[in-house]
Amino acid sequence: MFKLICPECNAENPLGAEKCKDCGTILEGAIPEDSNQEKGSDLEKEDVNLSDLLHLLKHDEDLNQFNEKSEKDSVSDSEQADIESLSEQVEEEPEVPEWLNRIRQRAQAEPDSVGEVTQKIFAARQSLEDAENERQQQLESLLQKIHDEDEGTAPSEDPERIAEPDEDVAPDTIRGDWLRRIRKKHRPAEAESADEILSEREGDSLLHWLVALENGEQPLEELEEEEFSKQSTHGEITQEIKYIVNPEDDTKKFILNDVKGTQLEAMVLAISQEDQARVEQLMAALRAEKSARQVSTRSGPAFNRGLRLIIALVLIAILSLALFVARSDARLYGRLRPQAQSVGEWVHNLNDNSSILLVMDYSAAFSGEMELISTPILKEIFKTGAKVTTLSSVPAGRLLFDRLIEVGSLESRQTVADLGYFPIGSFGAYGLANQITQARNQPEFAINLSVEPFDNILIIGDDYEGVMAWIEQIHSLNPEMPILLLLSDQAGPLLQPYWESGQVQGMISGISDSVNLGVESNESPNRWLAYQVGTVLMILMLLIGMSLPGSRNSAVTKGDEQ
Amino acid sequence: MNLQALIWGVVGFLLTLMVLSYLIGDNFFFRLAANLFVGITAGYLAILISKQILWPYLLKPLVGGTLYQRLWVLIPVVLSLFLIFSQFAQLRRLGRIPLAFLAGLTAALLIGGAIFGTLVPQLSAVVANFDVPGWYATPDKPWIRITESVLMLVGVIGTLSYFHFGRGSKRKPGGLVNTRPQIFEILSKVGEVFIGLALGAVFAGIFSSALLAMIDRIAFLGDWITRWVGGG
Repeated sequence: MFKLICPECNAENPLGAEKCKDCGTILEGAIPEDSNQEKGSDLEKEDVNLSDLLHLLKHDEDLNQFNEKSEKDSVSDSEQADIESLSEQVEEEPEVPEWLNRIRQRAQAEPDSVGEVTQKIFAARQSLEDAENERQQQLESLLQKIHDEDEGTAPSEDPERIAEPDEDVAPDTIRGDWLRRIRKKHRPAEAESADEILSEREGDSLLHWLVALENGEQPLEELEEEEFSKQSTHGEITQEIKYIVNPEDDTKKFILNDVKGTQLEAMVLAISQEDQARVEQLMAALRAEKSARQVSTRSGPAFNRGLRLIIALVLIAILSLALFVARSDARLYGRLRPQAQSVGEWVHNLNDNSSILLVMDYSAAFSGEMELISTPILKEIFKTGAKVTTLSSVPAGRLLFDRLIEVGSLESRQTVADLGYFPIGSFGAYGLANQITQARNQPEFAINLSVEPFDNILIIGDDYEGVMAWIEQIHSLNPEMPILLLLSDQAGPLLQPYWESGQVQGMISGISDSVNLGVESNESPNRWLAYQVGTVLMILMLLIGMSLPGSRNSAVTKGDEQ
Repeated sequence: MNLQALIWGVVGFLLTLMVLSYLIGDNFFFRLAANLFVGITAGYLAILISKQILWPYLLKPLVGGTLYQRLWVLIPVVLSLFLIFSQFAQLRRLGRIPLAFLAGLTAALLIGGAIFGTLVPQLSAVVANFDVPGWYATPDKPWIRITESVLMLVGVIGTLSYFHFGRGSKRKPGGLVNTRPQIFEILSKVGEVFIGLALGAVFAGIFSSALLAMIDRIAFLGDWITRWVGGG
């Protein structure tokens, strides 16, 4: 019997009363309470989700067992009577409060209102309970056989014997049991033992089940059987769902279905298709993981490495033949580019009064190419008797210049001053250009290079950035200073705009300009021939590599992976 | 061949072979040669800086310079000490002073050089190409100079348009919508062509330099073997 309790005087008022009959307090907002229940019970005190509590009640294990046994033939008449009385008690539940009615209606109309996590918990718990029941039945049958052999008892009497403890189960006991279970779940401290807590929480998460599946604790065959059994009972459970979600059914029928345990089966079906697809994907991955696979031979990388080695050796052999065997005087006398022609004219116009600053800005790795380009020009410069001063913006600059002198056989011709090493190209260029142009304004205590004004600056470089820093700093401070460049092939294209704009008086870029200028060194013809052969070979390899189908596929695959 | 040339020839020959052994994959000999080069370079650089930078421009004026020179040199000495102190946790803040000085000075140099050494002269050159009397200064095929000038102008504008990020993309229901003006979209496509050509030329140059470096090493090996066999 539900009544309204006055919040002021705790007096009981009939449901629907607007004011307290004793103190006259307005009862609007007062929560109706069942007078049959103990006031201040733990269930009422706890701040819990009522929806979840209802579902926990619905899936109480003891009630399920009770209903399952009631469906069996071995259930005694007294048990049947208890069930009927319980059903009648539920049916006769008087004056269901409005809030509880709304919750029940919502749960009835919206099966997914329970929440995804709760559904999964129920599904996992159901699977565990099924397995446990199966094992229990097997154990019972085994015990029965043993019992028959010992006492010669007829098997037909067994169900009654097994059901004997259930005969004492009364609705009050059941209710007390599920209340105890709820308290245990929300307040584990009241649980009887740690094992009990663990057993209660064993099926709390699908994660445990998936981990067990991955670890192989649950064989795949068993999973497949379970899946098959679920599919086989799909039609039956679907009917139950239709029955449950029928909006015209009242709350009592819903509770009855709960008691019968059908809601639990519906929860199993409440697993979404997405979850089912994930499980199937996981199972497929596990099958693929456990299936027999071919042993990878890793022949691909070894083959590629061998192919690469063979191609490199062939290239080296052909280049060696071009270098050492072939004797060719063939030279490329194509159109001489204007920037290279300017260098030739500049060299021829030098005289013994000229002063040249030679900036060494290339690394030892490109010394071969730079020697081919620079040595002939240096020879011409030294012939004129111009004064040469070197400055290095790379650590090995002076050593490389000495090698140039050695290769060009210029050792005894002239003494060359050395300004040393400037670690940072921009600072060095700025300091040098500033000193040249503003030497008169420097304070007398400033530490300066022993630099005299130069007529020309000749930069030998293999790197675009270093040479660009020199051009920028010198041109910004002294735009009239003539700058000439001797460059490697890789730096030439990016520095050509400085010649186009007139900032650079002339430039030679690469061995082809040097050959076209007609000032080759003694080694130039053979190197030039080998360079031509190597260029043709490289172009062929690029074309072959592009036309091979494997290269495109691998490129696409890598792109997809990224 | 004297003994010194023989020893250094053998060393150079072996180091070249070690580096070329990378053709069969990364191996011990290649790593040995690489570590050797790095170590020697570091040692050489330390000695070079000590001899050609620290001694003549720092220590020598500090020891034997005039008072003004010593005071002048004191500035880099203090900054260097601050940089060393930054390695200690309690004095780490002092390291910010020389780093800020270096960063500011480098930025000033690079920005000034880029503007007055590259940007202004290059733009002036593009404009100067449209000097109409200059086109006909020499009667030999003036249309070639006109074409070059127009192409250069289109290339400059297209490349600058390609790097125009003034207005970004907006997310709309149909997807990302680029809000750049249509003219910039067209010009940026033109710029892509010029950038592609420039990068292609750079690649060809790098390839050419690498090929020449390889030819140089093969020539070294061949020359050394020839001299060794011939008793050179």
